[in-house]
Amino acid sequence: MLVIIIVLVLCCGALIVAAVRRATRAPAFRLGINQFAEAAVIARHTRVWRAVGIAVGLAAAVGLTWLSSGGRDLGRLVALAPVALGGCILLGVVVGQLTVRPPRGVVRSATVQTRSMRDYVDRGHVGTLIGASTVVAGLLLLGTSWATPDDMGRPGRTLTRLCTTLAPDGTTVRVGGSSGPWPGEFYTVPILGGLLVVGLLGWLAAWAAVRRRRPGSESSELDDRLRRWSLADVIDACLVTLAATAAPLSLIMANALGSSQCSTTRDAIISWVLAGVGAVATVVTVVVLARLLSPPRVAVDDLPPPPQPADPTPVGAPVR
Amino acid sequence: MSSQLSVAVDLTDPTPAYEQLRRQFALLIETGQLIRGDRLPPLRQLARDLGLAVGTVGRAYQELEAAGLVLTRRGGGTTVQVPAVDAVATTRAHLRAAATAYAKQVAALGLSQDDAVNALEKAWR
Repeated sequence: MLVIIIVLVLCCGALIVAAVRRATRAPAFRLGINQFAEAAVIARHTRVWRAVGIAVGLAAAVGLTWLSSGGRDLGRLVALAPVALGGCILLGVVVGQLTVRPPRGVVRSATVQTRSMRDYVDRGHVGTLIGASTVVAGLLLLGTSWATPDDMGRPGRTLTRLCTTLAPDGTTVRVGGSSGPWPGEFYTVPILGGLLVVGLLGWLAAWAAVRRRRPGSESSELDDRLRRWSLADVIDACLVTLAATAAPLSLIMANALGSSQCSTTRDAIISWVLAGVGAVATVVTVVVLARLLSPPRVAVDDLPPPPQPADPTPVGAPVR
Repeated sequence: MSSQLSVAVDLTDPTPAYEQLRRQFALLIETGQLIRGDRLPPLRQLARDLGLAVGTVGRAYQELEAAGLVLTRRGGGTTVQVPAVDAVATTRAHLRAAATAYAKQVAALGLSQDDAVNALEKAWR
């Protein structure tokens, strides 16, 4: 139940940030009547499928969290909720890009240019993704290498710490025990499998965004922008998957290490570092999800703007 | 190579689409807008952008290669092969030919030189 509440609070936080961004930001591109009509259609089409991907992804993530609340899966389903979110967003991007209709006009134009992914990705953004992947890989490795079987013999579910201490009567006694859940291979193997699937989907979505046809050479500037936005969405979908995976992993490990009777100084330092990583990952999750929920807009004017005072009229005298 | 160069296909033109493409690429190469080493768009990408069959674009590229203007390498794409030409002279020659054809068409319509100049100014805008 607590997990569901946390997930819903994070989603609400992202929605609030997204709403503020939308309200305070002007459209990135404003098109006149019938200006770049084909590009506007493609922008609308890909945006719709992207929104479908986000909606289905959020529903899947909340659904998996709710299904996991019974406890029968021992938390494996909720561990895969971020993968479901990112995977659905990426599928939405793939479908939107691959289902763009072929050109239908009698005069068709194309730029003499070879398109590649490098032309449309932001290096800083990719660097952030690589950094997040490294952090998650480190967390999965740490969790798996320190994990021990639980009391039912299921491998990789608990953290066992044993140590000796001095009893009041002067004798040494063995203390400690196992604490769980701990993200060992019981959780990290399915998580890793899910992340690899998301990685493949990310590559496919990026390829589809670059491969999509151009809507005529006259709108190439707008079209290049649309592709950059799509590739940014792909990277953000992967980022939100990684951040939403890293946050609970690191917080759970921080708690288990910090609360063990046999914690050493090293364990305490690692616990604090993991808590910091968890906090940062939570903020990144909310921020990136808010960015996905508030994409740049292409505004299309339906009517010409009304005449303003001092605008020259067609015959030359200004409007009073 | 400028990314603003473009080619167009008019499906109502009786000239086959591959010939329209071949002609336009040849013009870009002859006028120096595409120089030696510049890459032509990949076959499938150009076919997808223009909504044509891959074979149609492929034929245009084959004709350009047969004329010695481009070279296609497996895995290396299609690149322009001709050495640097006197682009200015070639462009001027094409301009003179286009102007002569336009002037003949305006005369055939029974219009004057002023009409021709006015129409050209409006079209340029």
